[in-house]
Amino acid sequence: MKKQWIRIISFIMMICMISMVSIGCGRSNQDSGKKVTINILNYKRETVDILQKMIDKFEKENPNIHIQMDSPSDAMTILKTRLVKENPPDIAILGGERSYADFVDADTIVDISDYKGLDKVKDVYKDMAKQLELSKKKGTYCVPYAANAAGVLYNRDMFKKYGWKIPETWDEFISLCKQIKSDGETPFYFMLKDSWTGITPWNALAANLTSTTIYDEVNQGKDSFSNHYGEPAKKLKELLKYGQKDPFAYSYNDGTTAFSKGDSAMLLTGNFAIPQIRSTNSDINLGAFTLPVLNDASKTKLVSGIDVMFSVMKADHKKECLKFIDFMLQDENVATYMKQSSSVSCIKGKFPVPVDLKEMEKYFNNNRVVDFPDHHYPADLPAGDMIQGYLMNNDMQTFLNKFDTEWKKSNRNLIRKLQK
Amino acid sequence: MKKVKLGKTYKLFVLPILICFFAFNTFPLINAVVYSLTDSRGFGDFNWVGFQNYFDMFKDSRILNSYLFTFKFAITATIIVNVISICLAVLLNSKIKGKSFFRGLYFLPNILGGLVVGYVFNFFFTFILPSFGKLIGNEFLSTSLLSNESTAWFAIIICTAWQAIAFNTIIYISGLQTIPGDVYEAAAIDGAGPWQKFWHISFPLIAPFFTINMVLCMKNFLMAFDQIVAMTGGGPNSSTESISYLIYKTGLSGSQFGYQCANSVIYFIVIVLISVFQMKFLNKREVQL
Repeated sequence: MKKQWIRIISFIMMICMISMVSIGCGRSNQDSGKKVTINILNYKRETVDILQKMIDKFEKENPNIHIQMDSPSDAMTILKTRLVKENPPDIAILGGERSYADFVDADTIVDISDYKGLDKVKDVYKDMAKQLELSKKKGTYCVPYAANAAGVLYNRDMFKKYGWKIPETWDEFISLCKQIKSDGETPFYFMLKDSWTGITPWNALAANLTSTTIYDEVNQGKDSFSNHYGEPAKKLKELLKYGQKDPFAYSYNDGTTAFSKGDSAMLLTGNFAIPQIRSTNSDINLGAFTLPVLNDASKTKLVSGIDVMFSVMKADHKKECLKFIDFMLQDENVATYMKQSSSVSCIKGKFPVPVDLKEMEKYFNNNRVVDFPDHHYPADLPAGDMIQGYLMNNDMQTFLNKFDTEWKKSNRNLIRKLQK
Repeated sequence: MKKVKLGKTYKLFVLPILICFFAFNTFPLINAVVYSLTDSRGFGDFNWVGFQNYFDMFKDSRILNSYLFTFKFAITATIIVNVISICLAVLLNSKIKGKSFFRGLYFLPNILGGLVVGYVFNFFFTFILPSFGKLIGNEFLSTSLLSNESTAWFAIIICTAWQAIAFNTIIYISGLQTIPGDVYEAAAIDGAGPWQKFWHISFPLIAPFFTINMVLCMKNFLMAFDQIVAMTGGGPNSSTESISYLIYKTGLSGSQFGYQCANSVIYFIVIVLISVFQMKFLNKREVQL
């Protein structure tokens, strides 16, 4: 009998040891002192250095708050995994895209409608954030901070050298491309090996040629994408003629490197690519203009979305989180951030549009902006792949049909709910 | 009595592993089956949808394409890898100078990580091979193989095979070493040539190793992931999306967790069936001395 007991006790002890080891692993990243630790998950890796400097400053001013920031690659997947583990970060720095809408829809973000700092945010961007939500919920779930803009990046030095002019209409744009080609230079460098890069010009085309209500109407079964996406698809195909040879062979990294070295006069991308381009050639003199999709210059809109926003994901340290957001919203810090990251402020106040985006200034000031269509596309909709396939095979009908089928498939739960 | 006691000790030894196996393998599997009946995004609230995910799956052309690609990829790669591995093993098992050196050399790719190899080959196919193609004036080679829907899958096979051959060769070499020398001697006395020796002695006698290699290869290639992440990311035009990559991409990044759980359950069943079939079929061919 005794032996049996010993065996049972040793077995229980073994189980205890195993569980202690595993609990120990889980505990190791909690703080030991009284200091409050705020964990931030940042999806935008390009801004790590800028943010870290600001965090250091914040920690100096608030010695009892410690901020730990993670900026992993593929941050969205990591955030989702952490939500599964029910261990979300205190603050998530997100982009205004469909994943954010999913987070709101799944009740994973803390409502901050009572936060005073929200008054500082421009209404356009607050509306834009609301527009993203799948079923418009009561409450506010983010503080929009910085906006991005997509269009055409161009090499100022090359434009000066050959005397090329910034185009205002589609026809002017096409004749500019022809001009560049006849001057012996390459107009664009396509980076279509990474299929998502095809979405950037697509966004500008689709946003200007379709209405923003299309997504809801398709979900309600009143309309289809095939009715509207033919025109942008045709124009995108036309632009492909002015790319380098083998446009599908080169990736985002290859393309930005080539542009930074002056291999092409323009690049169809957004201001988010500027830090990447500067990292290979810090001396490049570049500018950006709006892709002139229409022939009526006064109607063309700039594609701009929320690039950086703060969302509080955990209510435990809400006060400290809001304190940090307050700090980020101080005029001086906004100015530093916008200047260093070449982005446009979502915060009210006189913050100059970065020099690189000077040609886009009038669009921002007159509110002639429209959100990226792909911010409304579900993350599993292979929009980039479909565009890539269309450009490769030149088969518009397949593309349009596929877009409708894939859309219905990705949104099938939402559609079932709406059409019930 | 003694026997029973010993049994219990054994059971205690097995227990920790059993717990770990259950916690990290069986439990997630059951979890996935449960999630496959929901519309979960992987986080937050979810609804029960019954077998809806399974019905939707069979209508989904993207999933169907990924199955077609994966099987095309796995079968071709398995054949290529095994043929080349056997040839290499026979060569490396013969009396040549610097045998150990060559064995080490050919094993090298297996030590490198799949992602690293993938990125190296990515560079090779995007820049080096096209410039070589232009140099010799070959139209086909002067564009990147990875940028073409019809050739990208083969480029991935080249990369995968290059790495997988190393391990398979080692298994075949160890197989060849289990064959006693006197069998060959007897064959030589009977006047058998090198080809007859290989076909009638070596090959039947390494059949157990052949079975292992076929099963391992098929299973590994059906789960191809690293190379695809590194080389194409599923492109161009979703033509190289393997099943596991699709599950990862749309299940985790794409918030279709429940749906892709259903896919992974089906996928699990498919792999089990194939492995069982291979074992049964190939075991029959094995010969014992």
